[in-house]
Parts: sequence; C-alpha cells; structure tokens
Amino acid sequence: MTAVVAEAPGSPAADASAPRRAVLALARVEMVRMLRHPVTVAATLLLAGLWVSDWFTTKTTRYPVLQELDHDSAMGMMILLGGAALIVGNLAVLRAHRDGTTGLSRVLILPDHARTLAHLLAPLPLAVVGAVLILARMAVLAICAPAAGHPNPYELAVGPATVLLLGALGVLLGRLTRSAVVAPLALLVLLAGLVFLEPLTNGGKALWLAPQGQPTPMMPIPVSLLARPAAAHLGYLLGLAGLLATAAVLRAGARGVRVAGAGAVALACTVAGGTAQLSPPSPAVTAARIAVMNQPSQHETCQELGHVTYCAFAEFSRWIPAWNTVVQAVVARVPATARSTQLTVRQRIAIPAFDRGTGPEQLLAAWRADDAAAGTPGAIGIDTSWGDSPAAANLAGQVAYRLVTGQTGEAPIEQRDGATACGGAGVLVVWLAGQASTHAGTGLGLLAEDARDERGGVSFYETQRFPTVYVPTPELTVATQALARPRADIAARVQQSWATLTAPGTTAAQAAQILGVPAPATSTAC
Amino acid sequence: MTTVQAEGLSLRFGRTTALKDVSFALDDGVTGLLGPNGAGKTTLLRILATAIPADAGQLRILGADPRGAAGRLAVRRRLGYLPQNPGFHPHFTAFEFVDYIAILKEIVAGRHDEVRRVLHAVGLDDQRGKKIKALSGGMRQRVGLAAALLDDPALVILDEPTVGLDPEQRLRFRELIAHIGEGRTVLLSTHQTEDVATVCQRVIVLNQGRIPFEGEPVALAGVARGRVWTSPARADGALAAWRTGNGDYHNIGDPPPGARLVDPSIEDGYLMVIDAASLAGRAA
Repeated sequence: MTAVVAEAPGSPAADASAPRRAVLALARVEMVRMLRHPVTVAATLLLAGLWVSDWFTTKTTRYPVLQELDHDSAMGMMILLGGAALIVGNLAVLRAHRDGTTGLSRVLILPDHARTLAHLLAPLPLAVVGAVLILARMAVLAICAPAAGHPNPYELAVGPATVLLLGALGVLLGRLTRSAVVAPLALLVLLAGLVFLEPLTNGGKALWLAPQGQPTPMMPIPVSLLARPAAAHLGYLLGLAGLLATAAVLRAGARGVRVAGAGAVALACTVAGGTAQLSPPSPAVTAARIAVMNQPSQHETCQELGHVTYCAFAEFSRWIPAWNTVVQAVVARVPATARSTQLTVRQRIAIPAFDRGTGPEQLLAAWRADDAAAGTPGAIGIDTSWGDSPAAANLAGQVAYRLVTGQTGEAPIEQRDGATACGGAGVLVVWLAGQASTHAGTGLGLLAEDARDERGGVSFYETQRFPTVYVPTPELTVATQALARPRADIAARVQQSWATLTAPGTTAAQAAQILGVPAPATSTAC
Repeated sequence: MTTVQAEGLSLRFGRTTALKDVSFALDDGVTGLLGPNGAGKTTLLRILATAIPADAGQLRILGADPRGAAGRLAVRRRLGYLPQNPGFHPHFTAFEFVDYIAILKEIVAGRHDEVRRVLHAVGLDDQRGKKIKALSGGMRQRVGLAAALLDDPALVILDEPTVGLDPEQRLRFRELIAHIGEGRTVLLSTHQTEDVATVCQRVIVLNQGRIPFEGEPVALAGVARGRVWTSPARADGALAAWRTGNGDYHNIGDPPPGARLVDPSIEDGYLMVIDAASLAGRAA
C-alpha cells in the first residue's frame, strides 16, 4: 500500500448547476443499479419468457388480435416490471438505512429531496425497456403470426406508465417507512386488487380507476368499436405517478413553487384523466357498434376462394385463407354433385353489452335480414376468434351441415339449440367436420366434452353464442368410430353411399353398417 | 487561520450530559481525540461534522457557523468525515461506493478522476473493482477514508478508524493519516494512545463530556512525569499497575520513597488525566 497522498486536481468549486447535475448523476447510478438488480432482471426475463411462450402457444390456439393484446401486455408489465420497480425503487431509497451509512450520508451535500428526485427518475429506463419489449412483441406478432387488427399506442404506453407509477409508489413508501417489507406487501395488495376488484365492480367502469383499467370485451372486435379511453387512462396513471412523486419529495423536505406547480399539474392530470375515462362511449360509437353487430355485411369486405365467399371485417381478412383451408377440407370429401350449394362464410360479432335492448332472438333475426339484404342468405357465421381447435370444428361442422342437408342450419329462432342433424346426415356432419384437420378433430372432441354434462351429442356454434347445428349422441358415437378408421376407406364409403347416407330416413345404425363400424346402442327419434 | 474554534459547547440527551462547556481550537495537522467509552467523543465529532447541533456554545468551522443552513452547507463542502462504524453498501465496488459518495457531495466535474485519485491515495488502485463485501476490514476502512478525502477537504474528521484493524493494518493506517494531515486539519478520535503518539501533533482528552487536557502529546506524557515507576511486585496505592514483559510491574500513581521512576508514556499521562478527572467528577 502506498501512503502517498496524491495532490488533488484542484477543489471543484460549487456552481449553480452542481445540484442539478448531481441529481442526474445519481439518477444515472440508480437507473443502472435498478436495471442490474436481480429482481428486475428476473422480472424482465420472466415477462419476455411468458410472451415468447405465449407466442408459441398462440400459434396453436388462438390467432393474436393486436387490439386485445396491447391491453394484455400492459397487465403483465404492470405485475412484473412494475412490481420490480416498486420493490427495487423502495430498496434503493432504504439503502442507506439498511447498510448503515446514514451517519455519513446525512452530512453530505445533496439534499434529501434531490436524492428522492433521483430515485424517482430511476425507473425511467425500466419503463423504456418495457416499451421496447411491448413493441417487439407487437412487431413479432404482426409480422410472424397471422395477427389481426392493430394496437392502440396509448394502450401500449399504459404498461410503461404503470412501471413509473409503481416505481414512484416504492420511493414514497421508502420515504414514509423504513421497513423493506412494506413494498412487497403493497405489491401483494395490488395483486389481490387485480383478482378481487373485477368481481367487486362487476367489470364496470370503476375498474378504470385501477391501474389495469377495464378488460377488453370477451370477443375481439374491430378497433373502431373498442373506444377504450386509453389516452385518458394514460393521463390518469401519469397524473397519479406525479402525485406520488410530489408526495415523496415533499416528505423528503422539498418546498417551493416548483413542487407546488408539479403537484398541481399532476392533480389536474389525475382528475381530468380519471373523469374522462369514466365517460360513456360517444353516441356515434354506440351507434356504430349496434350497426356493425346487427348489419355486419355493410362493414365487411368479401372475397371468393374455391367457390366459397368469405366476408370479414377489414382487419381480420388475413384469416380468410385459414378459414378456407378448413372449408375446402370438408368440401373435398363431398361428391361433386353435392358441391353446388353456394357457401358464404360471414364474420359476426355478438357483444350483449353493445345493445342491451336487443336479445338473442332479435340479433339472430337481424343477421338473417342482413344476410338476405346482402344476397347471401343462410351465411355461415364465424366470429372474431380463430386458431383454436373448437373454432375450426365449429366452422367445419356448419359447412358440413350445409353440404349434407342443403339447409342453412338455422332452426326457427325460438329453437335456441339450433337445427338437429339425425341419422345418416348427423353421422356425416360429424365425420366431415372431424376429418377436416387434426385441429378440427381435436376441437370436435372438446365440443362434445362441453355438451356431455348437458344432453350429450355435439353442438356446432357460430360466434360462440348461438348453436346452429346439434348432432345427438348415437350419431356422434358412430361418427367418432368412423373417424378412428382409415380416412381413405371411410371417404370411399361416403362417396359411394352419399345419397343413402344423406337420405332423411337413414338411421345412425344404418349409417354405421355402411361405414363398417359398430351400430350405436341407442337410436335418436327425429 | 484556525480551522475549528469551539467555545463552551454543551449538549444533553435527556438527563445525560454528553458535553459540558467544551472549548478548544484546531489548526492544521493531526489532532488526536482520546477518551474512554462514553466520554462524548463521537458526540463531539458529530457536532463538528454538522450531523447534530450543540445545545449551547459557539462554534465556527472553517470560518462558518454551522447552526444556519448556509453555514452548514459551507462546512460540508469542505469537510471529510469517516464516522465510527461507517457502513458500506456491500454490493457496490470500492469505486462505485466512493463515486456514489462523490455524487452526494455534489462533485460533478471530473468526478471519476477524483474518485480514482482518492482511491490511489489510500492504496486501493488494485481493489477498486472489487465488491466491498469481498474486502477485508482494513480495506473497507480505507474505502471510507477515500470517501472522506473526496474534494480535498480542509477538515477531516475520523472517528475511531483503527478499531478492529490488525496491527499491520493499523500501522499502515497511521502512516496514511500522517500524510493526510499535511496541509489540512485532521481530527482523529481513537482509543489507541499509540495512534496519538505516532501521528498526532496535538491531543485533546475528553472525559465525561469535559476536556481535562489539551496540548502536545509530549505534554500529555509529562503529566505523569515522576509518577510512574517499576517494582518487582504490584505496588500498594498505585492507581494502575500491570506486569510487563520483563516480569516487573509498571505502576502509575504516587510512588513510594525510593521507587524506581521511569519515563512516562502518553498512555501513562492519559491514565493520570482520566483518573484525576474521574476523581474530580466523582467528588463533584
């Protein structure tokens, strides 16, 4: 060790900008430490890992809808990165106390409120990391996956804003109490709020007062109909973050016009954003929602593929080739003579909250009228979710019913369970749907499982709400056995005996005999 | 110019008198602050470091009055302070810790150069990238000393920096403090009279919140002149006595006639001062 004291390079004189520069320097140090903290690294990796695994899962379940995933991204970010900002920010404020350096740090020059300001700035890079992750996720989904729609920039900014909000909360808690347990407890309370707030508020507008906001509708809808107050909510969250930050610096001893001004601006943002986000959608949006729900044909574009017409809302038209693959797999097993039926597949949305005065019967009637007016009577309905196996089975089943019976599958509106396909026709409908693809076969099993606890058999739905075709248990049993046999063999028997199988009097037992599978134990009276 | 001028400083914590009418002055060079546990050393140093105010008395540090915010800030800008048990952020490297303190001292221009300079000054060039939790106690103390030396302070206050160091580390630390004291004022609180003997130009003895002695170390030793003797057995009436390496007893007190007097050390003087002060205190 050398004991030679080197000459100081001259005592840096205190200048007016020194406190501001010191705050920025301290903020830089705290930023780096926050980003490097194991909690932050783990949270970031977990979030990215969840999204990556979600992408792989989504590919085999549901096609992504970006205006739905933007909100979903904010939620994950709030819990993980926001939680990290809360805990790590709190630990940073408590560092001097935890490590016993208060004896020294209290006689250093930079005042407490300036140090607090630096701590408040520390989560900024983490928020930027969050924004980059969200943008990367959206870009990957938009480019690599058959995604529909587009995200709302304000909705995307909500996640990073919650990081700032929870970071500010962590700093404030550190200023209020010296216990490092309080921040994790606050995070637990927040998570409990996520779980319990929605049922408590019945999913209503009051949820916008919570950081996560109101969830998106169960069924994806076109962006123009969402009308989520994302911008107002963003302003509300940033205002809240500003209020917490102001409280933290006040607690640290800051006083003066600038602090009061910052607090006033934050309060104004909170109140304005909080009020605006609770306002109901404009009459124009409400009218548009009803119009799109009741008369979808007027808001869709159609295209024909393989003699089938597909009509979809513009932002969902990327899915038409995927629909066509399923439809053509059914059509291909039907004799040429039965392919003359004109098929139209039309996308529909059914959100009860959009028009509380309209019941299911009125909506079905509106759709029929809309189809008739569009020149596509009896169009097969498909909703705004796609990619999961039940969706493929639902589409395949409805198409099969049209080809087998020549009917639309629309039972009288009073018959809420849809039309029933009995005997050989029912067997054919299920077999055609199940053989369309492995995916559709899996979906068929799931649909049958759903119906098992009720009346058995299987129902094929449009828009997940309205069963259009029902096939009873005996027919399902025969078809399931046929699906287990070599496809080519069954396909040949279907081609040879199409007329017999589709004849109204053919029973499930006769169909079983034709297809070479055991007859069902019971029969259906149709 | 006198660096520190204290007149009649007093401070009470509830019913306990920590300091009572303490007056002294500090100039350039190393001044040792000796005293037993509970004498008020740390309290006095915290007052000088502007961590706490005195209840009464006048204090000027580097020409400023630390009772006001502006004066306190002026003092802090030119102060280096190594508290007793300073505490370190164990996950910081030595460089990061000193850099962190530099920021809190509002050193912005050439900050990293300054951090490197003080780390070099305390001999931690090779260790600056090591986490503090991986450093020995002596090295940690040097990190604390480096932080105290930031911005070339005019007054350096060191509160028992040699506690817990092994003999070699203590020797090296003394050497370091001796060099730091060149051209600036250093107040070194210590239990070790050897520290005072080797590096201090002046010494203040603090006992029960009062200053019973202030002067040069030689003068402190001189307090015991004629009152230290050796004997083959423990002498009756000695204020303190212990057996030395050669088997004789080293006695302090009122020697008997014909006693074999020896030259007193600073430790002997210190013990005499403390004992006299304690007796006076008990009498009072």
